[in-house]
Amino acid sequence: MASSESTTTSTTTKVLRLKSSDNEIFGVEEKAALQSETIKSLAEDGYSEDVIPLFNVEKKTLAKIVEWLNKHASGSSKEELKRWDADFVDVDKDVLYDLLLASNYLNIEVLLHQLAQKVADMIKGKKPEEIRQLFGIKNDFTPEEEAEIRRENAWAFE
Amino acid sequence: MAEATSLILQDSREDSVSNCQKLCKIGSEDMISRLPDDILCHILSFLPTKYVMGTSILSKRWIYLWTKVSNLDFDDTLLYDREKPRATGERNAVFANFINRFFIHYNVQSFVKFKLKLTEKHHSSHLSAWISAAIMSNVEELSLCIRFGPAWLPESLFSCEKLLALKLHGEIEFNNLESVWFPNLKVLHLKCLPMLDNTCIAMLLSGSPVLEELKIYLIGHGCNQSVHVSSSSLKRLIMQFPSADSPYDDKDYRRVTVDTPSLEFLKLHDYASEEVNMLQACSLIQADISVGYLIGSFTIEFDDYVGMVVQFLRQISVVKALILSEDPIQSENAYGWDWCAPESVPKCLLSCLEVIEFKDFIGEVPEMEMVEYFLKNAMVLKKMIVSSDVVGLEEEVVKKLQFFPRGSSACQLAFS
Repeated sequence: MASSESTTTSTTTKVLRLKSSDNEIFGVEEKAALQSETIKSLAEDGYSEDVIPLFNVEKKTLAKIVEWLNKHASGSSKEELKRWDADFVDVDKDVLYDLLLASNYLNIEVLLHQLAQKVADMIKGKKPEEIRQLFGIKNDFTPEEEAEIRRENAWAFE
Repeated sequence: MAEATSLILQDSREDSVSNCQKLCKIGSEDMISRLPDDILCHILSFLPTKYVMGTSILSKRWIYLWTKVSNLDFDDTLLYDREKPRATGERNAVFANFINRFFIHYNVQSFVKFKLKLTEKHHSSHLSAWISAAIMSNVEELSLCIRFGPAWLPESLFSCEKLLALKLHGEIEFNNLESVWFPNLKVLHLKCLPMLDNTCIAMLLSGSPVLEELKIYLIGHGCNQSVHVSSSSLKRLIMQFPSADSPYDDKDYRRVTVDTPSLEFLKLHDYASEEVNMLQACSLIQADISVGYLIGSFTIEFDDYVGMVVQFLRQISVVKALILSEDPIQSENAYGWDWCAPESVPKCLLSCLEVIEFKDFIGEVPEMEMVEYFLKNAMVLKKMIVSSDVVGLEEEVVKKLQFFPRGSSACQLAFS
């Protein structure tokens, strides 16, 4: 809570150094970096002068996250951000999962929201068989178990 | 047997790596199932509940996730197979049974959003029970869309303390409305509610002391009624009144009155009111205005209407950003217009208007004259945006606009 004051009063642009799990260091302006609640609390705990270690994020994912943080602190117009965001989440499923986990860990609510929405859009309107195929989900129910669930929640499968 | 063994292996592997991102990439290609519950529930919270339930059959990992999703969205139009022959009554019974069962098994103590869209006639006791269940679970955002009414809402809804947002649409009955108490309600949307009148609007507003956003879209008969919006907390007001389908009765002079001292944003797209009055506009920052005179419907003369609009614009003259547009469909029945410069330059142009956006611009003479006037006389203007649906405004028009003299040296001209 106290940090919102300190960010608005700081006049020089401070750069925070973020370290990925595979030891790559990224310099990010404080204003951009503090969109992550996790980084914010680490910075408050006194990490802000040193390198902030992010043990759960690899460099290729952190690079994407940093790109997002910078863009969203750049003062772009709403329309431009919307277009940019649509491109940003238009990635392979593997990258999408990494970004989901990273934004969840870093607690960047807006980004997590965008990514979850993206996956939801992929699921929406598809039949269970189509979803299994799209995401490579293995059906581990017996035919009897599956029939039982379908019967119980019939409307969901109409 | 082999199948069972591989299942067990997969399960134990899942336990050991469930929180570790790195290992998620190794092993089976089914990575989505390895995301933690809270992320999967977040994803599912964007989906209609039908699709959420549909995921319960994907695999054992997914079977109970639906019980933890805190947004509920029931929509009786969603069917995978519309061609499947089934009588309406039977389909409704299956739908009702689905929701009833859902509430029995659902785990979340308090859910965030509850959205119910009913396009077929359902038993009123069901509707009442579902809404009551939502209220009992401390719902924060309730959204109801009812195609066939009249739908009676339970009385307890109108004294729901936890409610932050209420969105109502359709054939909802209000004549049992006796008292309203929404101590925390921030957002109220009233759309296409034929049974809503000005008395109900007044009751809803007076029972919502911290309301910040109000949307009112009226249709049909509703457009023939006067509307009075009074709220000391309201910050955003969006009103859309399309032209009424029947001519006005002489006795029914249609008036909109807005009394909202804290209002910051006003959107008024009104092709139905003969008088618009803004009583207090001291906090107003942005206004989006589209109005027009309806030939054959209005009881007042055209010149009086123009005088009224000028008076209204004076009332909102503290705005910093102004969006003007002409609804192409509505204005088919409306008068064409000429630009007629005011005798003296309005104060707002000299001192406060920073952004002007002209929507639905097609480059006609009066539009050009108006933009020219604004560019010349708006002394603190930072941005003039000309938006057009026409594919590429004519080059000549664009050039002309760019060469109009500008009163404010900081002014940028943008096209979108």
